[in-house]
Amino acid sequence: MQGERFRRATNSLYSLEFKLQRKSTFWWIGVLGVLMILELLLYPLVDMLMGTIPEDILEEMEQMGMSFEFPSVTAYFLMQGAQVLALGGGLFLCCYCANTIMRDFRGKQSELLYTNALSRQDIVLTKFASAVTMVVVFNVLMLAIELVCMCIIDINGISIVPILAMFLYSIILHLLLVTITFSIYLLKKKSGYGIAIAIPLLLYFFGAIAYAVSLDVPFLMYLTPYTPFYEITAEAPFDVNFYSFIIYAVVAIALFVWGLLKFKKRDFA
Amino acid sequence: MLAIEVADAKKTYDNKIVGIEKVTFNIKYGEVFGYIGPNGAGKSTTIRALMGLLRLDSGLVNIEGHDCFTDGVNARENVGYVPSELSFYNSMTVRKYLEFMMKQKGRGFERIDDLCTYFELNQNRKTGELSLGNKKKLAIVCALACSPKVLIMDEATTGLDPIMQQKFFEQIEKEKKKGTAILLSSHNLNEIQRCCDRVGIIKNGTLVAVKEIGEFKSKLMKRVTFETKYSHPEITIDGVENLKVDGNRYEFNYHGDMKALNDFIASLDIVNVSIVDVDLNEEFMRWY
Repeated sequence: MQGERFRRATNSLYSLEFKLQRKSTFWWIGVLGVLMILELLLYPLVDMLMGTIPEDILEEMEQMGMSFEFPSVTAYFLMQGAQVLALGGGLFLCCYCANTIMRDFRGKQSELLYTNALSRQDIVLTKFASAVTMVVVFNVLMLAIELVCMCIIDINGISIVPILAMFLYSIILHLLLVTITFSIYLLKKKSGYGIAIAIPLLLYFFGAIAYAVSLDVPFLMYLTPYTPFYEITAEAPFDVNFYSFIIYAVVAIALFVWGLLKFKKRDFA
Repeated sequence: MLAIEVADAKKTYDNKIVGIEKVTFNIKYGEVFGYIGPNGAGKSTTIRALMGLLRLDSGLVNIEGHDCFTDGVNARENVGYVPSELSFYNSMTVRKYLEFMMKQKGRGFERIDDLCTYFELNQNRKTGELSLGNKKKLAIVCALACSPKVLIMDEATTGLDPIMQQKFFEQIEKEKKKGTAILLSSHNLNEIQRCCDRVGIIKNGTLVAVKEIGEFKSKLMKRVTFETKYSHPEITIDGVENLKVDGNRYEFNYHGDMKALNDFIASLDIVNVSIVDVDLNEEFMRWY
């Protein structure tokens, strides 16, 4: 199938993915958006409480690797909101992309979808394109929600560069998670959301552990793509460890190529 | 060029169960080929291999000269397909679904309205709300709406009421006249005999016979029932199957020489006799 007919077929499949998952997308974005807003709304209260904690206790906490100083709403957001965005967004997007592949086999729609004049590769790449688009749309929506909320709370405390840097890291992280999850679902025959949920959860909590012991075992920080979310600060938004992103990008690309090759030869029994 | 060509096809599943083995047949344009076999015989395996869903261990499956797995896009270019197991995107309406599928097949929407009217399919209903029969109708409309040169239908009449079955076979006749090659799978020979030119019978993954439907009918068995007045004769003629004796009443299926049967019956003290054609499906059961 060439030219206009090919574009028509892939475009209809691309938009179908969004239509079929619009309800779950609405709920995920709604719930995560509300969570992040609630977290930001707590900032004035947290800021006030921090002022009541004695200096020596704050110093001790800082020595233990726990920083609770939030000089601005941006610093607070980078510390707290980023975690919700990275973990919650990861869970949503991994489930989203798992569903794009899984749905057709669970319900046997594959008998009709994969017997048309589009190749398996074309179908899979179109589905992947929809998942990538969802990563960008999700992050842009979250950015918009957060900026509006921060403007309401403390417009003077907003530093746009660190916030944009954080969202850039979020898009990269989510792209990596989506690619890895998508590839695994191309490889596996049994359906279920277990892996889609486990991937972001495990990597997130592994990141937390790696950050806590980073002074003693620094190489652990390379083993999770969540590292930049623990390192980013309002003062030095780009002073983070990019190696974990590079390592995961290589892993994601290799898995994707492998998944695609296996999927092309797989039996749809 | 042959529309469908299957040669020495073999497929074994992961659990070492043989799906099909040494299956060979072909279908010409304008021909309706009935593919008959009991459940689990290998009909759907053959059809899934033709649709590029399964990769064969060995052998060949071609549609319009293109290998169905390695060149599936070209092989499926002009194919309309009705699968045995139906599942649609439940939230879509019939109309939206058909439009989506026509886009996937690279075809226009011209035939959708006519076919939906013909098969009495409400285009505004959601596919998730359809009954089995209506789902079947939707799959048939979907296969026909793309003006296919090759039609592959796996148990297409299951779930259709007799009126719809009649309409379906009329539509098949029309497609045949247009020169469409049609593969019609079923486990009921009676059902599809009216439109098939040839029939392939598959059993335990192996194609046990490929016959012209006329040949099938000419060799049709007779059901012989007679009652004697006093005697208890021994049935000595060849071609007798399923003999049942109840007192003086004899009943059996016969596929031997008719003259020999007549002579045998004439030699008996017959009270009454009946010789009728065996139902085609019963004939088919011999292969099971």
